[in-house]
Order: sequence, then structure tokens, then C-alpha cells
Amino acid sequence: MMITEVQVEVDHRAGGLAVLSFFGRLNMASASRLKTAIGDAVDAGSAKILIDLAGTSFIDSSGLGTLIAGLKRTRQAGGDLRIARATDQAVAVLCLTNLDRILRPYLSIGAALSDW
Amino acid sequence: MTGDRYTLRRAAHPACLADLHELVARAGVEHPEVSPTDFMLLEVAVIEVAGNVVKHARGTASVTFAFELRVLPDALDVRIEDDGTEFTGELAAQMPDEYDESGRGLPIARELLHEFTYERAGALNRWRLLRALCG
Repeated sequence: MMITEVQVEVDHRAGGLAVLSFFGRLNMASASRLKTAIGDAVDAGSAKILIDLAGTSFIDSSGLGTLIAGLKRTRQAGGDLRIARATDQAVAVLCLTNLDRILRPYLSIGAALSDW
Repeated sequence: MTGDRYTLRRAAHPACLADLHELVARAGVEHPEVSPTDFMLLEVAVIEVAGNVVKHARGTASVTFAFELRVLPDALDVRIEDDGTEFTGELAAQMPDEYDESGRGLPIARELLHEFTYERAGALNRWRLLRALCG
């Protein structure tokens, strides 16, 4: 069995912004890791959160739910949540569920941050 | 060794989902004649259904599921059996509202499959997932 290591890297930036990079499969086994990281970042003063999905090899419905929870959490704190560099698989499930309407998949980190 | 049939039997635990990912990925590598997109979308559906089995197995003593994928000339044909409690949800449930945090698993699977059925057979839950190949 291949072990897929899940990892979340947090990069706090100026202006109450944090970039969270999630590595591995974002599913029912790992979604709580991202949810905790988003909560911790908001508690640390970063209400604007960009999730970098370039290293996220797979997203299931649990992962989508965590992104929605994060979106609501950041907005309650006066911020917002964006996603960037989603893989083809992530974009496919976002579009299939119509979540691309509220979680627009930005092509690059620069594009996601350009008007923030 | 390549083959047209891929099987797995595991205790229904979140950790077993990684094995399913690997098995479907291996089938994809061994069948380059099938579009990678078809395998990718089948993998999404498989993980949602298996995840549903795992979720409903929580808190019970021991639930085992058996997975079989057959790569056919015109379809990817999956059967999943588990000995957990009977599924009482709605296979035809609609996609939830955008801001709902759950309830998307089976609607996602249904969207990606050409046949998606469930039956209770004795003490077993039987799921069939079929994705037809357009190529």
C-alpha cells in the first residue's frame, strides 16, 4: 500500500492574508486537517485565505464541504476564501457541483491575489 | 501483471480509501486505451460511494466491503458489496444548495455514471457503478 502523506503549509502575509497549501488527497480522512488550519489562520488574524490546490491530488465531497465551511468561516470574520491552481480533477468536481460559482478556481496565485 | 479485473476486500475504514485510489490508478495505467478522464471520473464516483459505506460503518463493530472493477471494451463496470446496515438514503437525491457543507457524495456519483443502482440482498448492500466509454 502506498502511503500518501497529507500536509498543510501556512504562509501568513501582510494585510490579514494567509496562503494555505494543501498537499495530498483532500477527502474524508484528511478534510479535518484543512478545516483546522483554516480556523487557526482566521484565529491568528488572517481572514483572507487563499487555498493553493496545486499539490492537492484529489478532492472528494468531504473536501468540498471543508472549502465551503472555510468560505463561511472567513466571511464571518470579515474576509473571504479563494482557491487557486486547482487540478483538472478538482475543477471537474467544482463545476459538477456548481461550486465554481462561489469558489472560482483562479489559475494562479497571482491572479487570485491581484485585487486583494 | 495486467488484467481486466481488479478486486479489493477491506474493512470499511477511511484508511482503506487510499487503497481504492491506488487500485483505480493502476487499472488506468494498465489500460492506456481508455481515456484517463474516464478513469478519473470513475475514481471520483467510486470514492464517493465507498466513502458513503465507510461513513455509515462508523460506530459499528466491523463492516467489510468488497470492490470489483472490470475494464470492458465499452465500459468501466464496478460492483461494491458491504455487510453494513441497510442504506436508507435516497440514491436520486438532488445536489444540495451551494452553501451546504454535506450531501454531495451520491449526487456527484450519479452525475458521473451511466448506471448507478443499489439493492439490499440478504445481509449485503450491493452497489453497481457503470461508466460507459464513448471512445
